[in-house]
Amino acid sequence: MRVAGYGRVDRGAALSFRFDGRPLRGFAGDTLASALLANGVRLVGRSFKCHRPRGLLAAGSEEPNGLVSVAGVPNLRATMVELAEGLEAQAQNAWPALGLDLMAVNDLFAPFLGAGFYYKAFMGPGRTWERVYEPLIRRAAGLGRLGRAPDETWRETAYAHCDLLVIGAGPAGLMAALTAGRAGRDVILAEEDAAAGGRLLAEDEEVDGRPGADWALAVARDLAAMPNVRVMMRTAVTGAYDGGTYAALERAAPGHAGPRETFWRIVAPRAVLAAGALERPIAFADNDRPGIMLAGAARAYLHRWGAVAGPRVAVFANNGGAARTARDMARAGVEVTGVFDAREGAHVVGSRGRQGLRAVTVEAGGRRHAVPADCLAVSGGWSPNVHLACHLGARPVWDDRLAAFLPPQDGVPGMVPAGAAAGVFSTAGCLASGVDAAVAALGVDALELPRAEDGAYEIAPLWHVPGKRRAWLDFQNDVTVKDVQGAAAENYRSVEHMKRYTTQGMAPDQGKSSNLLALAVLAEATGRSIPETGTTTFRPPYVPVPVGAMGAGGRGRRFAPERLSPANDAIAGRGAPTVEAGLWHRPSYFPAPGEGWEAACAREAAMVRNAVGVADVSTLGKIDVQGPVAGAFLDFVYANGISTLKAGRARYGIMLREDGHVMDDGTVARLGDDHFLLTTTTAAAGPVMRHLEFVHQCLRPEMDLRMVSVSDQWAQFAVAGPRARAVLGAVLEGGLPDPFPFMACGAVSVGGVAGRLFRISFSGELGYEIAVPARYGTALYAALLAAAEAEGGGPYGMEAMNVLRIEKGFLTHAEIDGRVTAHDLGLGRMVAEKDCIGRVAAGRPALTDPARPRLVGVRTVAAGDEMTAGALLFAKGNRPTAPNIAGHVSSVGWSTVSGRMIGLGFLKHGPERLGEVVRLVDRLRGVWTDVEITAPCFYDTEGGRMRG
Amino acid sequence: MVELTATLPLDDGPLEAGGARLRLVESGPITALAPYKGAEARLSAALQVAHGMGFAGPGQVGQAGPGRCIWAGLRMAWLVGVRADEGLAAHAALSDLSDGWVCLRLEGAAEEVLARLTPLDLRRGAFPEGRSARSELAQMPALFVRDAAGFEMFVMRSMARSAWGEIALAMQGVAARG
Repeated sequence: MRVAGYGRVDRGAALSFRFDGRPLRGFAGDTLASALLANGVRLVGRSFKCHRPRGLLAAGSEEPNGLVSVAGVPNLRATMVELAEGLEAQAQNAWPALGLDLMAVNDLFAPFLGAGFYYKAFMGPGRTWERVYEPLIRRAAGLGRLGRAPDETWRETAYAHCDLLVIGAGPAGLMAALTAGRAGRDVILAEEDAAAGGRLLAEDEEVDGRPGADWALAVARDLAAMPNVRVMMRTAVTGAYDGGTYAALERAAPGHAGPRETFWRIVAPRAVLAAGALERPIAFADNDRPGIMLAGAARAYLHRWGAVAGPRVAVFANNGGAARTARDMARAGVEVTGVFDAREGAHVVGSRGRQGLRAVTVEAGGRRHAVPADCLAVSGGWSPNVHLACHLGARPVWDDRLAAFLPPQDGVPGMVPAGAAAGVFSTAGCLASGVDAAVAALGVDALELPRAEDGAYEIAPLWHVPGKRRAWLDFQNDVTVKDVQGAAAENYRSVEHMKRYTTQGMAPDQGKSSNLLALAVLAEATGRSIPETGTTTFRPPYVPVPVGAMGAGGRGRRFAPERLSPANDAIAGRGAPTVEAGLWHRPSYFPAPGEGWEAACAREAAMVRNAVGVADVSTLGKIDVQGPVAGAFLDFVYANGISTLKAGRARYGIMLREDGHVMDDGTVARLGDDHFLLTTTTAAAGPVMRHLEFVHQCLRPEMDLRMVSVSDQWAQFAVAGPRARAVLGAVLEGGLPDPFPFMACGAVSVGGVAGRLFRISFSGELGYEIAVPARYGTALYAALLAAAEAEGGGPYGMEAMNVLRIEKGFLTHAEIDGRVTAHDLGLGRMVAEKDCIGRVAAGRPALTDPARPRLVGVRTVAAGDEMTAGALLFAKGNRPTAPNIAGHVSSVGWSTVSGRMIGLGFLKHGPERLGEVVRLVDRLRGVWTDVEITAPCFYDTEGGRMRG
Repeated sequence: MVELTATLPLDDGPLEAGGARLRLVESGPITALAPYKGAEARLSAALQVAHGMGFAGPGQVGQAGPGRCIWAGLRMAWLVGVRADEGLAAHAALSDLSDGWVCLRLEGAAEEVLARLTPLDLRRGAFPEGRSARSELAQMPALFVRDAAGFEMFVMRSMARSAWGEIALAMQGVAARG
């Protein structure tokens, strides 16, 4: 119900919303939780395991019961959902309805559903657990359900930097931010709530002679007006990480059209932890009835939103919160039916009511009596929010006087706890503590303090009231006092074991209101003190963070940048589907009308063999290496000699890793005495550059050379086929240089543009690669294609390129898969007798064993048979089982020149088994074929065509 | 006789959103200068003679007329806007990058937009005018230069469209905040 004259909601701005389909009304400034209370709705959800009816316990992000789904997003806390016109919220974990939940039958079986029940009850036989029990349990239990559709929500990630991050905008945080802001420092003030003020919004207190909430609003406005201060409302700091980095989740305001959430990484050398404190309940029998809530929450609902859970309120506490709550309720005209202060021996021992509280049972002076109440405000004391201070592994420190854990000293370098988070529970103390923290963090001047209330906090610890019926500790996970005692009895005495056995402290709220209670019950059950028992580990995130927020920007095509060739548009214009290689999007094939990929590939391959083809090879990595000792350096990084290469010539080279395996291959062209141009495979350009830098900076720093990636500078095209000369002759200024023998390179000019020509071939045909600066890539590609088409040729894509190179036994990373040596590839003789990376390791006996799988060609015995890459090879007659694996196929393609499928692969003793027929088995795709082992070259084995 | 016409790495025109303005700019020639061992002082002197400015140390940007010398990484600066004097090759490895990198210019509320794209500390105290920094821009390698009007981001030509798309989306994100 709503209380006249109370609350800071805008009563002039009424909003309609629905809860579980029921139309209700609230006001701007309400949360879903406050609006529900104001509408007299106490039952807001069903519990996780037992489907018990539950109501709101808290008023902030720690709320364990009020979990709702909004617009398909589950497990939102009703206390954090800002009311908006037309909001539709669904209760969770109830079927068919919140009021009549048939699954509540679970509660009848509660005696069998105690902690660890499924470890004991749902044993065997066989696979019954995964097949029967687990699906059943998963259907019966659980919180909200995820939507099945892809999440299209717009979210962002962002970075921020500041001198001081202030976490929390309560009295301490506001004063810390003000102190640092006035001193001219860059400040970020992050507050998870939609309004600044913290407890000042929830209490009836004055600061500087005016209502605390008004003071907070004014200070927040002052801060927002400072150019060096950034006030981030609705922003929960969720984690503290190394190097002064903090994670924070910012929610958009209701009705905001932009990104719904922004995941921030805030870098701050100093931070003030002013995250406040959380109130904890006291466990007693049936303490989970809707209407039983934390006293601080009851006051927050009253003062901030003008809402109470019912006309009759009783109070039960072990600290001064009892009197304060009773006073505030009475002033608001709410009937206070009883104030039970545990310090004076009065205990609430039970509750009555079905879906909402009707009365509590009280024991005082040895007598029990019932007291009518719609709402019981409970306070078991306050626990400082130490979480962030413990995220780097430090443990909180027990304080007997406060009966609470305090943040550790220097738990996070640069972080200073302040206010209630530091165990300071009076408003005046918090204001002073905020100033002190900013002064301590930054060494700035202190500000004068506003006047405020300065009461003492007195508490007599009371964790649970003994009784026979279930007393709930963790509302979100349905964990009771008895469960924790049971865990201890079963010898789960470590707090970490107790947590896992009972599930206490798991799920969205991570035990915010239950951890200390459970710990105290465990300590009592094991005869230890609370500090001896210790806490579980505090880990990020402090509040739930959608994975979609952390990974914002990583969905679909934005998963990775797309690298496009300079000729991309011309290629796309010819309708070529693309395939990704090392972020580059390369054309697979160029389909003629009505042509599928296989037909296009075969046609393109034949075109190159018989006429001429043009392929875009701009994507290959290109690295300029220059300097007087560049040749010597390349001798060190390539397995074969490079320094002997003459200017104007190119050479094929392989690079080994330190462990002797092949890292990459490519050509090296010597453009001048001190200038080499390396090409790498498309996907390995980055790793090769990193490797070269490592070798230069760490292994051979004395060598004087410099290197720079020029991959994107050049558009480069392969022109291959018997008619290649005619195509280049038509394009090059002054015609094709003559002589220009195989593996020559040199400068050329195309229409006045300086380019480079290389006589290299990846197809086995007469082949050239021509390069011009990238801006001319589209134009050169068009010119080459026009010339090629005049010669009966055209463009070819990756599929045809693959077939052509398999026919020649040329390698790609399908073969250079990180596990093969030069010896395996038949290139052992390339490893020169000189010092080079990987040479010694490559000579180890195990890497030169002839029994290793080594490169071979494979061809189907029957022309029509299928063959697949990734298939395994077995000697004929051997059973196709793992111990009998003799090798595998790495690449396959339909070879026009062979009239069948051919491939490359690796076979034990391979080169000694040419002509042998072996069994190819691909269980995944159901391919069983006989294949013949051949030399890894199917076409023009003498190389006359490419050298001619 | 074949005539080659140049094409731009992207067709998108200037974009304005969220108080920021984005456009593709023609930076002029880019030459990577990587001084050989012990040759930095000689390179700097030769640069001074040929182009009126010295070699840029870490984070520095020198300017003389249309030319700029922009620090671009370990032992490397880029000479941008003018053709590098060939004599510099005596002291440094020179590589033409004019077509390898594309310059995008962001003005107005650039800091707000870039906060969504790069981990760099963009506060003026940490990244003042006339400085450069290497970092990532939405997973892409980039060279950032700040001047009085905003930032220039040099990105690899092959990634120019992805970079443009990411910046444009970040601008929408800023715009939506009002």
